[in-house]
Amino acid sequence: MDNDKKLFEELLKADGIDPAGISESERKAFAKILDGQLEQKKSKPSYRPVIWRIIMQSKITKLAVAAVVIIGMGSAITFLDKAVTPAYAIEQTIQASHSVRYLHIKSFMASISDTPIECWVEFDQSGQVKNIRVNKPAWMSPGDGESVIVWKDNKMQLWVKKKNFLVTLKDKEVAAQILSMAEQLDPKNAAANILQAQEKGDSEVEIQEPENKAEPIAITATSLVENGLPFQRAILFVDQATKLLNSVETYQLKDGEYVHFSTIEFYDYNIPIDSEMFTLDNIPDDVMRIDKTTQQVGLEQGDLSDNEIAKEVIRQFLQALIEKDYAKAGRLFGGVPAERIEKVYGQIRFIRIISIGEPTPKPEMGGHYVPCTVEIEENGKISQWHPEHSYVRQVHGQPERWEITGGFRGI
Amino acid sequence: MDFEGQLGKIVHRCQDGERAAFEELFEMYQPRLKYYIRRLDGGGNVDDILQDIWLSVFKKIHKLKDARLFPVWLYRIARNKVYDGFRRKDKFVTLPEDEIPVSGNDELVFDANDAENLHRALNTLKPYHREVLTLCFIEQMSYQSIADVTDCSIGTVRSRIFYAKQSLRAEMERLNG
Repeated sequence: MDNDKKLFEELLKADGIDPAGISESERKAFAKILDGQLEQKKSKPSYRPVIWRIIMQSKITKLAVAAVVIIGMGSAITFLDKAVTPAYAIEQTIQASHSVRYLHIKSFMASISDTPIECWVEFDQSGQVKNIRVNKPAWMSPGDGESVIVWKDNKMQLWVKKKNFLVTLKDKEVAAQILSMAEQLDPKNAAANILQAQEKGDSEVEIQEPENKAEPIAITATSLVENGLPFQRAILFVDQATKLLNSVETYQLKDGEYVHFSTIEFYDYNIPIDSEMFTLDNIPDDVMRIDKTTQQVGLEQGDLSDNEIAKEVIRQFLQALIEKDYAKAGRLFGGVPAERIEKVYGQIRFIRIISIGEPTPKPEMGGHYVPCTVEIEENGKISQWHPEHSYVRQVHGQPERWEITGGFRGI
Repeated sequence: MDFEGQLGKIVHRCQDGERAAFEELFEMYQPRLKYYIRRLDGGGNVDDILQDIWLSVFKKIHKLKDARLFPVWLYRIARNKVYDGFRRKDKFVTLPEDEIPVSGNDELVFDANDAENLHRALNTLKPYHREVLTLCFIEQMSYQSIADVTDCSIGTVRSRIFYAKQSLRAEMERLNG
């Protein structure tokens, strides 16, 4: 046996894994997957577009994560069996939800953390979303740590605590996505999906209404088909007195059993939320502020194609570093203050641009990846630097301009 | 027939929907995938992630055009499963840290006798260092393949492996007293 293979096997053993063997439970689980998939391949066409994936690919993915479970729940319960007659409780829940002005939501992901994603939503008198705050725990973005998003007056602010920066944006597309997310957070929409589902199929619903009025009504929606979501069952708990949703639990089907996946809890219906909650005025003074609503950032596209402008932004950014023009570099880097750029790059001598490659579209980043190589000198050592994530995209709210969005260390 | 050729045949049989071929792939890759996933800071339940990976393999393997690329394709799926969903990078302001590659000799050879300490030392490294070394040790992947799996440039992979081996060497020296 060659040494590499022996090493590989010994490493696995050190981790308690038998390199040559599969446990019986693993074999069974895999057989179930195979059986299910082979059967499905024979009998079922591919399923409808999956909201989960659409959301995950959207530009506000991380913001939307808080809503995803509810969105998913909405999707799952649109598979309800049309033969099932909706219980009165569902209609009453929709009716009751129309009067909700304020709402506090906690979303727990059972397998990840006890720390919830928290959202506060204010609706206007017509039921439209007015303000939102989302507190994102660190587990959602280990690199960035905890962050807060506030959306108010069509303006979005993102405060990343660990990295100590605040970005302010005003952009129609972002606004539309946030509103869409908020609509999905709205419990009345979740309940309404159950009624709409009467016209569709593929799931079954069961409503249990306990005699004890202190206990909630439980509406269980179970998907009967591959729904493309991370869970196959949702249970809505409805307060018998107010008919409002108390919570939603979702479950994954594993080895024939439904295993708890997530819980969303609804609190403080119609208890006015302090307006301070929808501002980020009280964050530390030393936070790096990038306000894209009051300053022009990036570079104007003019007659250049998308590829040309993407390369030009990178070229001008690197040239600015060579010339130690940190203000210009900062403008090109999404409006980062010159002092921050100088703090990060002041000790590095940028000697020359070696190459700037052809941009590759990265739809998930909303822009292009532009490979580049620069010769630098740091600590007396000359080397080549290949930024890993040199992405360029249109500026939110300034679509005629393009900016760098990441990939340069330490900023 | 060499390993690559054998693997290619199995993959083609999977693409034809042959159940036994999927079972062969599972036998072959499940242990090492488990080791890899445990080395990533993915959180979550490893068994669930593995199950999701195989589900994706089954659903998508017909799209794999070059069977020789199966290991890279598989580890990309695995990596995405771990990091997807609740751990994606922020789409508004993506500010990942980068490293500056340095030139130098990063050769560091391990044999099976080092496995126990190597395993322990690996667990002390930064996650992205641990990941590239795991792919090196478990799959003997080329730098280019690791770059494809991790969606980094080959320069970054080279740099990461260099620094990872430095850290590993220091940790193993500490473990060896």
